[in-house]
Amino acid sequence: MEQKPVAAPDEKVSNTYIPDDIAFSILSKLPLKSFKRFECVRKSWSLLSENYHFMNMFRKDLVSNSHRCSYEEGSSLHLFAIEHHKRALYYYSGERFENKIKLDFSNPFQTYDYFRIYGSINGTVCLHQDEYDSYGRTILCNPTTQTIKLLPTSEDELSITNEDKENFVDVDIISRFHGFGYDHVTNDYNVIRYVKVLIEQEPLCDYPDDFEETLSYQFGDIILGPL
Amino acid sequence: MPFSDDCTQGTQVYMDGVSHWLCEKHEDNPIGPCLVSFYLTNEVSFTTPIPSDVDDCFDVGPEWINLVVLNGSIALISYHEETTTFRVSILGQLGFQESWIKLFMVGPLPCVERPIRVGIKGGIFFIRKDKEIAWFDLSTQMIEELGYTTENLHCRIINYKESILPFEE
Repeated sequence: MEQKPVAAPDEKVSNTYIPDDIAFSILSKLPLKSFKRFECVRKSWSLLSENYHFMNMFRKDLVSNSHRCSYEEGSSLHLFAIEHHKRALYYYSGERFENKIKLDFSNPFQTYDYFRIYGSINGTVCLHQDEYDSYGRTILCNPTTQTIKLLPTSEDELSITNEDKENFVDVDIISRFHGFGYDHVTNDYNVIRYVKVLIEQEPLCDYPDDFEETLSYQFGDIILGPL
Repeated sequence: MPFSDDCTQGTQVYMDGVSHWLCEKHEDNPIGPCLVSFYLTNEVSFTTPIPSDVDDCFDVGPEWINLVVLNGSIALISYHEETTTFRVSILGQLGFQESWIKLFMVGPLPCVERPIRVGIKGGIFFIRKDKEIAWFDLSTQMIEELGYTTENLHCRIINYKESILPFEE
């Protein structure tokens, strides 16, 4: 049967007032950044972050939204474990991570088994050793394609020669991993490290505990070239 | 630009061309606990202090702190061992310490032996007292098991997206 068109009401709705509960419900669904901007629109909205009922709605939406959030890197997990003194890598996927595959993985640094695993971008995982053979080392690897790339040593680290090591009482290079990112403009991966070179000079006879300290650090990005 | 002397796994996160890391208070960082956000394209950085009334996890060590992205915002998740609770705060605007919002507290979860990492979908992964790896789902408020048991507490979890794209050798 053909549906009759619903007759439009004669009196036009001229009321532009949106009831608070509807406005609040909309606001609670906004990302935090947008919500913060809308706080300035009305006085009653500026106090919303102190409103218990509103914040409950906001939390609920935020958590349920993060399930389908496009910012999330991937939809699966890597579990790096140690089994029988050896590194093991598992790949978990599925809504409840119900699919598990053991991947082939050996220590990409080959020597010195201690390394830290940082995040992954576009399937590339970043691994870092804080101190190895007196300087830090970073490796990028793709466990799916089994490719590995050892990043070049920074200039600051290379500036310390073997001669320096002999001439000074102690030379220490500390490398701290700060970030692994991707520059969309240049299509480059970036690694941010804090590198500190500590040089202990020959101790003075009068003050055997005293030493001079040379400090230099850089936030260097290592450019890997486009994909 | 403040740097961290104690970079543990999970205190850095990358989102939309910006690399973020947490920085504790030390002699070269008089600002105190803060979030540093570094724009990779123009190499500009922002520092957002983390006041202790937002999260005092930096004052009570040894602590477990993770930096994650929740629904497009930077979130700070900390574990407090004595109460077996997790605290979740999110940042509204980079550089504005007053835009931190204390979102919620999770727990107490007395079954937690050691937290591992916040994974995708805001799941908090941890090793349970019975050595099973489990995760707390923020949206359902339920604990789920991953199906892996470990005696070794040094296991790591990272979010991953499979890709066969090569990078330049």
